[in-house]
Amino acid sequence: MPVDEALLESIRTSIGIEISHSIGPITALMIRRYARAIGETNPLYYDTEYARSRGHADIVAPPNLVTAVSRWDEGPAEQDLREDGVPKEVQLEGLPTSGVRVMGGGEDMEFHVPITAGTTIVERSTMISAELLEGRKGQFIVVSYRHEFIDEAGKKLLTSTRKVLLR
Amino acid sequence: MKSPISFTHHAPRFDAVRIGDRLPEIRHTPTRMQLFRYSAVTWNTHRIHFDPDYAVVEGYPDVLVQSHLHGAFLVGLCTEWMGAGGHLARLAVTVRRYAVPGDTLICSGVIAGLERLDGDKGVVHLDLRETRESDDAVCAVATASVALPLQS
Repeated sequence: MPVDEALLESIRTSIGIEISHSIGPITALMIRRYARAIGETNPLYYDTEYARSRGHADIVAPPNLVTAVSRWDEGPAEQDLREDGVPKEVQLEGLPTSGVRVMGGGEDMEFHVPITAGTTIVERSTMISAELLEGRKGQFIVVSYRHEFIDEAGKKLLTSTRKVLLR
Repeated sequence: MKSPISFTHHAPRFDAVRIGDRLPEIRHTPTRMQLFRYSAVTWNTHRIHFDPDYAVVEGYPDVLVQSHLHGAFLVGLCTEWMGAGGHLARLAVTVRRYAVPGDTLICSGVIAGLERLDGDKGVVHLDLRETRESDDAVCAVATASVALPLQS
């Protein structure tokens, strides 16, 4: 699929549509495993008593944990992954990106309050813009998304604006 | 293996920091094991991060450090510096160059701005970068905002 005006227009039909889904609870084990994977030793991420002594309800998720998880469900079967391992149907929330190389283009995260183990989270995602640009190696499209992570009471925990590049 | 209880306790106060102050550098040398575990824990199936043969097909010398792992290293630079009294309020990160296992990545930061708030806090604005030691390539750049207490 060429990266061109036609693809851009098909992408732009999704601008402004909010997709909301429950992530479920962030568990203590998920937090500790993520902390281990990034090489962190901060007891805030491992030790409940220490976290409570610092005024938190339980251990705290490293700030960019929730934005780093590629998906929160079981994901597609292996035959439903592209050759590069990216799920055929997602990555861009249903956009037609067959044959298009997809890569991250940067992320701006606002951490409103720390996320502690046991918090049940809802993610609300909205495509906010899509632009076709001319690069050194040809045209590429920059798609921007806003992701809001809120708790069950609707309190904002984290807001992320993320750019995805299509080449 | 490192104990989980080895966090360095230091607590910079807003009144005591100055524009131009540098954060203590942190070095990371990601391994294949780390990349595998990062992909696993984030349920990231992108082959570019775990399959070296596939990485070659896309023109890379080896599997690539995940963009969010670059981000995590820069988050850690801020949280290690600010201590338990600080709050990382914002991080805007852009990955510019890829990195592969064995690359030593140096995370550094400098205070670029100070903003005193009403009440007992101030916000420190930071310019951050993650540089590959072998060739000084800048792999990621970021800006961050950290809230610090005025008094300890």
